Amino acid sequence: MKCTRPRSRRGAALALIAGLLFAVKALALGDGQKAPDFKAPSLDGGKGLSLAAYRGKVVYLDFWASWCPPCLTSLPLLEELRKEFPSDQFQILAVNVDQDFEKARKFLERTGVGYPSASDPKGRLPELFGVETMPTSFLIDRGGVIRYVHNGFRKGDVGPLRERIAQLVAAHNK
Amino acid sequence: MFRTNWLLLMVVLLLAGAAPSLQAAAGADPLAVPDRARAEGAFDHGNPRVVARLLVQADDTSKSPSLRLGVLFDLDPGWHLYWRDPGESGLATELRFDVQGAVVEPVAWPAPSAFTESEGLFTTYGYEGRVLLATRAVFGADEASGRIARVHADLLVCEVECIPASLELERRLGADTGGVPVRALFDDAAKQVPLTAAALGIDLELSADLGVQRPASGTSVLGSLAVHPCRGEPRCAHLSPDTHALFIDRRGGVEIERIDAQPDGSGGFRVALEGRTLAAVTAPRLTGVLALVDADGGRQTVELDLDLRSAPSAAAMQSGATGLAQAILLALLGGLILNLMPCVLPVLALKAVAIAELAHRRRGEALAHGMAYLAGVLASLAALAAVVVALRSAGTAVGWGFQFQEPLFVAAVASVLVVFSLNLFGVFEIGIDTARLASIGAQAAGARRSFFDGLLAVVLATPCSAPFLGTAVGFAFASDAPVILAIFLAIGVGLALPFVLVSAIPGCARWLPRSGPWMPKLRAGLGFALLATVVWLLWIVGRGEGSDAMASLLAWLLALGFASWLYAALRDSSQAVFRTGAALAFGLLLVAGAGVVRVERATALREPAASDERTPRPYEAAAVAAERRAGRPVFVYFTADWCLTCKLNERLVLDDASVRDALAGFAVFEADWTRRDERIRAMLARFGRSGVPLYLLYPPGEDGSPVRLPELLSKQHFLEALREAARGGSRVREVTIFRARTSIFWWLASNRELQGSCS
Repeated sequence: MKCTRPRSRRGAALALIAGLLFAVKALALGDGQKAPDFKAPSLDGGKGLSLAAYRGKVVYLDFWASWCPPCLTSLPLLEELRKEFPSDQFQILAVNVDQDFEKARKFLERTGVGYPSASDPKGRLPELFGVETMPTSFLIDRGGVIRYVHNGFRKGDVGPLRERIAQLVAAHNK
Repeated sequence: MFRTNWLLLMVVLLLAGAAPSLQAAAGADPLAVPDRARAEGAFDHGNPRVVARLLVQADDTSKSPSLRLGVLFDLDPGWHLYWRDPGESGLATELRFDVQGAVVEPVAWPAPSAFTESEGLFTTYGYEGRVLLATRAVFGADEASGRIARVHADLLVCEVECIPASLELERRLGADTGGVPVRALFDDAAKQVPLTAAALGIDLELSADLGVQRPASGTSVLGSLAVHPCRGEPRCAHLSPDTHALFIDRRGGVEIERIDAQPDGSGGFRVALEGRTLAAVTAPRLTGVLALVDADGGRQTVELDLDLRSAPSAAAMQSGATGLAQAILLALLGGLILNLMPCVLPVLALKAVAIAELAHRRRGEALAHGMAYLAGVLASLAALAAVVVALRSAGTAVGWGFQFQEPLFVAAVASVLVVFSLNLFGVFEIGIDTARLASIGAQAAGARRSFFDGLLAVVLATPCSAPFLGTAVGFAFASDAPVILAIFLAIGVGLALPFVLVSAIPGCARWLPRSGPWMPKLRAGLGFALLATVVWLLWIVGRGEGSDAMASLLAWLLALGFASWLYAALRDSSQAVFRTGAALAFGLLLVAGAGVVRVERATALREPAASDERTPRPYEAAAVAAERRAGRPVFVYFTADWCLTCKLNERLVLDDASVRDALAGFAVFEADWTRRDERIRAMLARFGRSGVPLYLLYPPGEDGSPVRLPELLSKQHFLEALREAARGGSRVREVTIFRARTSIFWWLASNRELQGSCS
């Protein structure tokens, strides 16, 4: 009789995410493409979040997970960046892909991140946006068009990112 | 032209086709595996960040037919994958082997490396470069040849971004099971697998304190792992902890948040641990890897699997050298010194007056008072010990002075003090009427009063911590019930000793002034000292529970005062109806007063302190660790609003301008224990303490151990310690008793002008 070990939840999560990232490689969204709208539940259990709700603002859409150290570096820094721009002009919207979203919630509480985070444990949204690596972020203009895609994160990325956001915010204010 | 091009194309195609066989002939790829046994993964813009190969090799180390098999991962420079436990972030690598006709053993994980990720924010465990995760497949009677070996690998690889990979590898087992290079890889991987402590001749001794078990959130774990490499054998006396000494995995149901390895002065070292059990874990074990470095810089690793529940108490082990006799002596000394602390001064002053009053009358009378006072002190300490033991057996961890964390207790003490002060003002007498004062009954009542003074002295003494007392009480709290009782009683004997001596030795009484008309005036004056203590208690309630709670307590005290006055005014009446009315009025007023008491827990009442760079930050173990990693010296002070010793130190030393200037380069953290906080209690216990204050100075960098300063700070010594710590020096690592003693002299000298305001 052949015995097989039950597949762990974490392994299943990795396989799922890896499968999705691999499958959508060819479909990755880039500059100039329209950001697809989505609706997803909020990580904090609040009302659902949708990208369309922020139309008219410059949006920074950030995909993250608690198992991704560079993502965890980025969150508090993005929170600082968010405060530098008027809230009616600029919005950060995060998408968390943790299966164990309690871990993600705890991290948000600890770091005091104030921007909304959607919960997508099944990895539907990375597939929709063609996310290959974590973290991946999309800077979307007021018209809903992707203007910049950012892969990975290190502290030094904040400066260039600030400039890009400022340009997009200013461009529409003219 | 066309023909020439066609010929060229043919040549290129032929060469390309021949290339693999040419390569094989030349032995260019010694790790060549069948196609399906090799996979690329974690694609970053089309580039694979990891390449995996399924390797097999005949196992000649085993008698039964078996194979060594494993997955060889080759990672791009800068990228890493994770160990069986990823640490503070990341995801564990999972391998699932399936070999036809064989039982596959668990993966023998090589000892991992520690990675500091996200610029110092997280420590993770894993491998970079090349790693072989190997195991063994044991076959039954059948031959391995012709069987299929499969493995499914789920892994996460990270650099400044993370990419998951899910890989499938398989190969048919045949005669060719890898040459010399493959064998070398397996041999090398086997060398990196941690050995048991016994195999390395290392003695491990785990001691630990587990907090209160809570099903939803687990319990705190404070432990200490004593490591004695080859005790008594000089050949391996040079083993020292690696930069990252301990890799704890969560298989044992324990998550470690802080590790601190220090030499123990006898050729070994001690690793202090701080963490928690995972929720719903009933049998926590310390599992993972201990990493050591030998004199040549070589790494030796030890597999750990130790039972935490059966480990002896860490705090008891820490003060193991102290011993019970020494702890009792320290308790006695601590109790004696407690007489000099501001907490008990009002009561002690009262006692001194009472004894002066009696000392010049009859010796027996004075002795009876001294003994009654001792009995009061001992009874209240025995009761306190019983409460501590009862709470512990009910699963609640408490520390010295814990009762002041309960606002209702503070309110009760304030009530007693108000009644006491009214008595001193002559508003009423306790238990006796004035006509009987001179009678023999007065002596008995006076003894009762002394007993009560003893009780009050203990109640008021607990928010103070004196030198020696911390060590003794720390020892007691980590011990069994009889030891707790013995040490508490020793403190009582120390506390009561001066009065017992004065009342028992006739010579002592001669030093005291004769009683006279100044006595009632002094008693009234001391009544104000008691009211000043009430002001302090009200401040504690106000700080912790808000101004509403403080106002309702004040209203209650007013009702209590009025009731006492009314009672005294009517009870001496000759008519029974007035006396009954007095008792009724007293009772009614108390009930009405109790109705206004609303000492309910308020949340977030603390006003946020003005935040400048010098404002201390709330204590967080992770933030302290981050500052130390960043190379800043750190000062942590453990305090509570109800701890007068703490407040004195803060007012006289920590708030001093020159000290604040000297602290400018330090990261300063305040651990506030005004309210019950299991985290802070656990941290205090780690340093063998069960109460505040505790002052810790960490030199810059992760390696140094903190300097523990005495309970009473002196500015001069504190500044000196700051300078030493900023230099990263270890000269003041051990704070000597001499230093503590000089602090007391300093305190006595500088406190004279303060006694009026503190008592």
